[in-house]
Amino acid sequence: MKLVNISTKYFLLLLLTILTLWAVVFYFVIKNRIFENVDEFLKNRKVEIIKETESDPDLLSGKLPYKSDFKIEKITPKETDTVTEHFSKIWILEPLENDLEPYRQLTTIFSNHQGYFKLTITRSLIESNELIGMILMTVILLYVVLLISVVYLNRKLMQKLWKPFYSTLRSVKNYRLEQHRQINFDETKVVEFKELNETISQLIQNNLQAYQNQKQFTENASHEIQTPLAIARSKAELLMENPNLTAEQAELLNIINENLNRLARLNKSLLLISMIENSQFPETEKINIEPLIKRNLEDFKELIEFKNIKFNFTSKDKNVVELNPDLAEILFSNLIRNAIYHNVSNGFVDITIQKNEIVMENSGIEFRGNPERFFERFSMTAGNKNSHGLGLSIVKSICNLYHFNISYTIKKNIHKISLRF
Amino acid sequence: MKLLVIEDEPDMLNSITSYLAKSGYVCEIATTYADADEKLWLYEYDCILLDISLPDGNGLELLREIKEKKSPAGVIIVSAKNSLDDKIAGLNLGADDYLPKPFHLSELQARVNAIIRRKNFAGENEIVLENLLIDLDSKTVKVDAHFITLTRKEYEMLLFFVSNKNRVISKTSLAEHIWGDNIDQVDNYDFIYSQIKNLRKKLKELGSAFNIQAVYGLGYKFIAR
Repeated sequence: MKLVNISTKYFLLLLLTILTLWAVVFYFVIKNRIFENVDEFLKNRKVEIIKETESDPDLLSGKLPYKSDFKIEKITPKETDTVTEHFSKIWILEPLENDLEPYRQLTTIFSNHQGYFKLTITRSLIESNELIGMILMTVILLYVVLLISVVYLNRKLMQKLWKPFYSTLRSVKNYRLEQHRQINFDETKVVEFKELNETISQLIQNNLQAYQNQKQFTENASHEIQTPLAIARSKAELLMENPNLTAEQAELLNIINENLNRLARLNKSLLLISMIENSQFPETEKINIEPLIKRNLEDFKELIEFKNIKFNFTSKDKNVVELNPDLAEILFSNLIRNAIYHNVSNGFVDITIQKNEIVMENSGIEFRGNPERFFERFSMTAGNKNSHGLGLSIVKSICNLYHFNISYTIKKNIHKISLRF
Repeated sequence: MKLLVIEDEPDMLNSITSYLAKSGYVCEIATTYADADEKLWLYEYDCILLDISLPDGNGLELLREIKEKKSPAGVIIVSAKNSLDDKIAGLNLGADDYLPKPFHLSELQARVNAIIRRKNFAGENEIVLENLLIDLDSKTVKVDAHFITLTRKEYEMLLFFVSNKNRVISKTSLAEHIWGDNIDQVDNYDFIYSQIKNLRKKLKELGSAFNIQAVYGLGYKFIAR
């Protein structure tokens, strides 16, 4: 869930609860106030009417003015026990509209020298109800407007406030360590984001340093290994010349020699990869792929014949690619070698040059698992002790350098590598 | 044939000199820049093996000096750095060859032979070995005036054997010399064996005085019958 949505959600929940509670309380308080007002009015009216009866005795005899809001009845002293002063709500039929309308009524008793009287005063609640209705409407309107504006403002505010954060996120997402460049963030005045940017910059700086150190280390280590390796191998070769070697010693020497050679190849490949990754092949030129492949096939001719592999080479389009000539040579010899070595006797290799794409298919053994793993360093070492597993890693690092797209797929026993420029 | 081997690793120096000495080269040694500089001023050499990373100086500077005094010596740069810059700089300065470490001694021998041949026999570019005659210009091989038809790889193989005659050549050094890095698996020793067998058959058919002999499982030897 996005940050802005989470904050909107919480705001909405909080507002809905508080505003609803408030609206309900407000409504009832106002309604009560209004009824209290009416009751107050009725009480005042009672005092007024009782006072009036002193100066106008007609009122006591039931002669009331036109449209009067009260009624006076004479009652016996006994009846005074049954009547207590109270308010009530009543409905009166309005003849004009033929409609029942709500009224508030005060029933009370009073006495003077003429005896006891029951007084009922009524007051229409129409206006009060209208007032309450209007207040309710206003409250609801306010409620809705408040909700909408709070949600809207919150979204706007969040977007504005978090803008530097999203910009930082974008920069970090697009950052690639192997491009060796510093990361740039947009300026921000927010202290926390500033700190975040600085921390990320520092982190990336450290990573970059570690990455470069590691690459440098691989290269230096490979270089340092060359000399002792060269010495060991030369001594083994000198020993091979010893005329007094027994068959057993020769066998041991053979194993030493083979492993020294393996180590030498491994080291050479590692060095090559780190040199590619350290961008030590800067010169490029336009290379025509077709003759390059043909030349490589010529180099492998005897091996192809020996393994009895059928080669098909189809060139549907001319492909001229800009890259370093040494790397171009390494790239294609590794691909072709891979297709030959991981082939089966009497197998085939099909190479097709299309526009901006080279597809190599070869027969091989079935493989369960992700063939893309062949591009990883040493992924194949476990299965085949003599393949140092770096040929395709070299291919991959060359492809990475020039942003070529390479994929490896296997269908049954057909291995397919396609290389797109 | 007089060689100067400039190399600061004593063990490496020792391997190189003892291998080359067996082939009849006179090897002088220098382990420092100063030492090499002095020897280069005092003596003439046919070929110089130059390790460019010396403790007291850059071997490329020595190369510059060798070329400045117009020494006829061929120069092979030997480097553990395997850096393209060094290779290009070295060849631009006039080095004849560049050999990255670790190399096979037989490979070094072949390179030294090639350079000395180029320097000394400018006109007639032929190798004669008993009844075997190799014409390096036309890349043809004759046994007792009869041409042998060899494939390009067989020809290269024969040349490599001739350069290292009577020496044990490991299977790997042979394979790497002929097929470069393109060959790196043991199951291909069968393949190499099949190639050797073909060459051996062709040599034998015409009665060559030299034959290719297997040495245990180690490699092969080009030796007089």
